[in-house]
Amino acid sequence: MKILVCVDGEPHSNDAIQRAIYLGLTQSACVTALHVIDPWLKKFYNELYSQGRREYLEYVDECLASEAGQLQDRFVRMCQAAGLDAGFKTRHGDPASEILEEIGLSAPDLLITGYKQLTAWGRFRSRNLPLQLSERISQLIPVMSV
Amino acid sequence: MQRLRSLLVPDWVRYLPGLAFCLAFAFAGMNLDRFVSNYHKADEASLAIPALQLKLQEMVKSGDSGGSLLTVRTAIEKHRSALDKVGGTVGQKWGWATFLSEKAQLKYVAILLLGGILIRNTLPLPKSLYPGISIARAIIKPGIIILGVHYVWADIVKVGGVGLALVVVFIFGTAIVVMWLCKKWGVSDGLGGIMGAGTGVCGVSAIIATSPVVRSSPIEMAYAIGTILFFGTLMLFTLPYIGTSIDLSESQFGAWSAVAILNTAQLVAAAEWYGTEARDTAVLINVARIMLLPLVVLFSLWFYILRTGKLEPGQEINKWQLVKDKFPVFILGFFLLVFLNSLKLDALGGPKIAGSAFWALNSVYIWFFAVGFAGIGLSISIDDMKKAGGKAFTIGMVAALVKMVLGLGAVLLIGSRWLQVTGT
Repeated sequence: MKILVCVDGEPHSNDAIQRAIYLGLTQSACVTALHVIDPWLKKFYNELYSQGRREYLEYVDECLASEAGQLQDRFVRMCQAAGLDAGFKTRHGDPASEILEEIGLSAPDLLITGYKQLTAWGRFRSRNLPLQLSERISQLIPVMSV
Repeated sequence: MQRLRSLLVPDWVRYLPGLAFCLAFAFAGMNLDRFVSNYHKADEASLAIPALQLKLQEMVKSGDSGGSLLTVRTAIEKHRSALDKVGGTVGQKWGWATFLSEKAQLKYVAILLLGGILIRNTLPLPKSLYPGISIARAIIKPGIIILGVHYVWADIVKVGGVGLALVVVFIFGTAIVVMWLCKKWGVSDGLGGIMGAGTGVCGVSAIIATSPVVRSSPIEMAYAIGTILFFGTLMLFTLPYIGTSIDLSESQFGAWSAVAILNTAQLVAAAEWYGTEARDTAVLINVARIMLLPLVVLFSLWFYILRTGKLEPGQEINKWQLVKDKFPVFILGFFLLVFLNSLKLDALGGPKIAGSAFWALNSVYIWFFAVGFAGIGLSISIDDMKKAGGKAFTIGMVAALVKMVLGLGAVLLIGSRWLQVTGT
């Protein structure tokens, strides 16, 4: 069994990792974490009067890479503490599209995502990614929202 | 050939579809503007011709002199030509065009901005268009350089001087107060720094210049950018209507938008929408505003890093290099044209001297603006504005409101005379 768990550093994604570790150990499943680096900030580098564009792009890359590194470290530590050998992948792009692409590529049997109870405004702002994913992916593979 | 190639960015081809789309959209917007304007003029002509003809008859009967008769005859001819353009006759009405042009203020700026927002947020645009759309905004810059031919040094001294004083008070005032209050309220340095610069100087452009200096985190940048875009767009669409409703003169509106609107792309659009005088004043004050960007970045560096001794051991900051890197070089082109226009050289002419070099330049500026505004409209994504939130939203809202109210008070006190660009 192959499990793909989506991580973004939020507390609810930590819950998803815990569930993936539990299933990995009890079901002898192969667990891989996926972190999508969203390059949204980079598209503003060309604002009308922006100065120091290269410095800004390099800084955003550095911040996003550092965040991804920290996530990977935390994930590896959590898995090691539980005695599970798991993989970690990073992709760049729109989170929903990249997760779908990864599913097509690695064909997992189960996708685990974190779920946060959002207010109406929160759902509007986040485009309700977990729900979007569930709707789009549930036809392909089972999705577990934790 | 090799040298020519080196002038292009390696992946320049990916910008072409979006740029072509913006050009086509700008062309459509400009033609729609002309279409509405032609019918509006025809509607006015249809009403005015009978009244003018009656006046002419009375003048002939009372034996008026040739000069005043000629004036009325010329006015009738002008109105007839407006009617001919749409193939209309006296008595026909085109009230819809008058409504769109006068009440709804549907000019090319509004068509491109509103149309762009509508297209971007409702139609599934291919992703291949996005790179070109994002760089189309920068095409406003050559337009701003060309606008240099509208000014002489006397304008720079008078309007620029008043504008500089306004800008120093509002831009530095906002930046310093926001940064100080953020520090006081325990807002992180990363967020306080970019919100101070963003609400003070030139919105998202200032956030881009300041974020690496104050080491903002990605989530702080996202909040700040979303907030500035939200309030910048909100002010773009509300300030022109507020200005009209309180009978603000064009030059006063130009100055108001230049100090109040958070994002600079939106302020140029709002002023152009309000009128040509508003645009001339806004562009000049805006030039003063963006010239201060390096100084605000330097201030952020001192406020958050140097003053608090947060510089890492061995780390050195070349302040002169920092100022040079953040200086908007294109402004020098603007001042070069102001200088040349002030010399009143026969070889260059002026923007109102038909057939001259400056007249030719002036007639193309609007196309740079149109493509740029198409790019701005097509870049305004509701998804981007939805990133606004957290403390950044509160800071942005308070700064926008305070700047709007105080800025209005200041331009009302100063009056139109000191803010009017004469160009002579």
